[in-house]
Amino acid sequence: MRVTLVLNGDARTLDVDTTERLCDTLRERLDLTATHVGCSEGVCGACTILLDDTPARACLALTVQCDGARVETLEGLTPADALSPAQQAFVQHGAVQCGFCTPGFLAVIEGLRRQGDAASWDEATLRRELSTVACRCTGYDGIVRAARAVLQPTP
Amino acid sequence: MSATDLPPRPAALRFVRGEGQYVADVRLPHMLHAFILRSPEAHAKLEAIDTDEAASMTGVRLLVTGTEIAAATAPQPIVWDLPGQRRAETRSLAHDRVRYVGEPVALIVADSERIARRAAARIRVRYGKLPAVTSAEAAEAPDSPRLYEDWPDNVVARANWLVGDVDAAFEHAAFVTDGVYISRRMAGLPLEARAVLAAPDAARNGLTVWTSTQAPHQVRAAVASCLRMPEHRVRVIAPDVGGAFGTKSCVYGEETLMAYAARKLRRPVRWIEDRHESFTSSVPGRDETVTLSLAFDAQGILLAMRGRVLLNKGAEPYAASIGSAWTGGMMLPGGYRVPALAIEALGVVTNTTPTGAFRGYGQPEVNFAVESAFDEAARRMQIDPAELRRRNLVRESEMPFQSTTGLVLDSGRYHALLDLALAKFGWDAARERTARERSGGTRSGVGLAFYVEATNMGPSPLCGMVGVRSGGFDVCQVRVEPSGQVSVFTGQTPMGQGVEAALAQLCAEELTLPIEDVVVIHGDTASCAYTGYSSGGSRGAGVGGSALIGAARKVKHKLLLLAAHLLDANAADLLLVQGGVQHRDDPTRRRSITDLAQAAYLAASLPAGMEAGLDERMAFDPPALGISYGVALCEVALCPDLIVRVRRILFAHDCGRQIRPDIVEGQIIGGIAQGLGTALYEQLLYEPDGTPRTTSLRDYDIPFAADMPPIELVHLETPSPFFPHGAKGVGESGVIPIPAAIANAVRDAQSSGDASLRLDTVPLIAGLLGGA
Repeated sequence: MRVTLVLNGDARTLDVDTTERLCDTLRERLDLTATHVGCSEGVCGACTILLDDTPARACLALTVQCDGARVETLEGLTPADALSPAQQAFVQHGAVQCGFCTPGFLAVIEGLRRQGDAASWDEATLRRELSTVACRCTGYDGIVRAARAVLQPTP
Repeated sequence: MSATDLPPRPAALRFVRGEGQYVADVRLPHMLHAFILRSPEAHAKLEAIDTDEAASMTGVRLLVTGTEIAAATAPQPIVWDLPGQRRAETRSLAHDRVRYVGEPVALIVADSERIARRAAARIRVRYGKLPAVTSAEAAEAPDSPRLYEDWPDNVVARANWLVGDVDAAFEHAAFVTDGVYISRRMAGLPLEARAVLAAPDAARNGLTVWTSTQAPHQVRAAVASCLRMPEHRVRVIAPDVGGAFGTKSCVYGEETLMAYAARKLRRPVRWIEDRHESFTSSVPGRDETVTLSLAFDAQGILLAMRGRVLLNKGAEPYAASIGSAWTGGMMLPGGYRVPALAIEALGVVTNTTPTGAFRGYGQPEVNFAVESAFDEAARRMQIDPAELRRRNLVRESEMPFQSTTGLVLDSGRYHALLDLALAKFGWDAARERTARERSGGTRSGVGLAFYVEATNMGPSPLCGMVGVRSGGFDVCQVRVEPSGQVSVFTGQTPMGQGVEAALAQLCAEELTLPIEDVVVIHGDTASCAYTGYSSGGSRGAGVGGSALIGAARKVKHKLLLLAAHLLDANAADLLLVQGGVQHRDDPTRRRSITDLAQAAYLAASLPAGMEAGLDERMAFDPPALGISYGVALCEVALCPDLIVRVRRILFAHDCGRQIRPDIVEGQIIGGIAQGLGTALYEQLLYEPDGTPRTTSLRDYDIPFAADMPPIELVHLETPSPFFPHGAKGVGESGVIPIPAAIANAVRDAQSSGDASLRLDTVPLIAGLLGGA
């Protein structure tokens, strides 16, 4: 089946199987390997990408369902020669260990940033919003610090 | 230096850009895809396998069963072989018999994973059911179903420690505690499950195997041995590893299988473990029952200990054998003086997934027992639980101290750290406040647990003594390139912890270079020197770092000799300063490392007898373990539904010198998260017939960001005398004391009378749900 995705800003028309998962289209068809697959059942969130600005599980979405949608992966959220503020914050605040969950968290935080109402959240709300992605390495403190630096910058 | 001032980890810079390269990201031309058909039966005879229909499907390239593998390969190696340990000719596919749900039965290689899965569904296997046994206690019984007919029972191996007159001590004791403490089975659950890609390597007339592992050289040895190939024809690469936690420390049959298929098909073959599969095919950890009795005199001084550590080894004795039970036995005395003890450690086979290493490796299990028992003793004696520990901990003046099981406690200020932690936590005030809350009807309480962690695994003689079939040393090579920058080749394998950044920093310090001038190369048997044991046992920075320092100091020595020759000076008068060698009285007489490297490689003017080049290596074998230690304090509240809410944790620890404080912090907090999972809700359950009940992340709770309590860290840095940098390991510290600290706090919360939550089993949710 033919579908058109606006993938990281570029319109891409693909011929895909109707049962093909978005994560497989990205990883296996298009070699966009920043999107990681951790559980294939929507729990771990490693495969989170942005679908029309909203964080979504690429392991649960079928590619045909995304026809006409804007799909953004970490490749598209990464500046060519620098790091985005969120990427810098992740490096600086010890939010990265093995790196497998990192793309998922960066997508979630970018979604929250675009949504725009995180500035006034308390710690518990911020942690709850970040609880859509699992990290097995860091214990989350670094990730929460980095998210706070991005979403609640102190002037 | 605060964490944010440290130079960024180069790996982190890649990972945030999505440029990590995990096995599943490696693409090779003509790559084929494998699927493994696994047993749905816990214990059965393999009576017949019909593969005809599957093998004839379009796109199926290879279909292999256990009969072929049994003939064509040698058994999987046993890495830890204790005296008297029983044998099993385990191969990468089952033949004749299956012994757990998830055991590989057939390999299908096809043009796509989808075709391979479809083909697997067309394979018909006839199983002749046998009675199954799932718990270690049941497997010990004389009438238990037996897994290996040539064994007299289900026991894999056992070990004993007997010191002093234990019976007399118990007879004369003023207080005795008796308890059985259970740590349930749990998954390491690295977010990247396992993955293997094997490809023919024509240049070496052999193979290259990419695998997500902690131990590339062990995998090479296993693949070579199983395929009956010499090791020089096999290259193993561990690219970026998406978490490991012990799950990836052993060799697996899938590595052999993919290598076998790639060799047979002369094409690359890859297998990506899916999460569902990982719950039964990757080694879980824990699943230990510790039976413990302590004898105290009237002053609360420990007189003797009786302990038994029983490990459910699962269906096969391979991989780490009963190592976690053995380690638990050795670590039972912990940081305490124990004049007499009788300890037995053993493992038994059951019809469950074979257990292996998981962060903590026997230590959280025995810590849960000992620290729970100490609290019980303190309650009976009506003294503060911290005071009872104080009376029994080894004193700083006694270090290094040989513990009763033979373990050497290398260094530490146990009392000072305990007192620091109590003060920082506000222990006395918190005890009073929670007691008031309890009178008001809120069930809150505080608890603590002291721990020691055996780190810097080695020494080779210790490994040899206990049957570990690999040396405990690490090899590091430091190569100054002709342009003056440095390539470090380490035997250590990063799995997210960031050991490569610690090694880069140590190298930069030794050679007075900016850290940007150092690149650390790891995880490739073709470039990194042989290291038997690789990364595990919290040894990366301690042992790997010591090897690096040794090699870097040899480089430094050569730099000084070469500079002396070029500057016409005495080497003794020269110093290595800021990337160059200069005369101590005249800094203008100087040669930069770049100048010296060029001279070393041009080799036109070298001192007599000096070899060309600037490239040194060192094999460092630790003279002793490094024993890190600390104490966890926590405050909990028990909700009406008996859900435990952890209000806060203070974690005080000492891992010797901290090379990268940010990495240490990451290890401790990450360990605490897994300790919380251990303590509260992570468990892998089985039906009595051996059917696994937990095969999905939906059924297996792990902590998310909202589940973590506020954590405060404090530390001391007491350098270990046995390592040139004074650093000990810290990878497992965070996880060890958390189960006991939380259980003790819950007991305190229940001390007002209503003891509705059982506290002899972790995760504590087990006591809430009852049996199973």
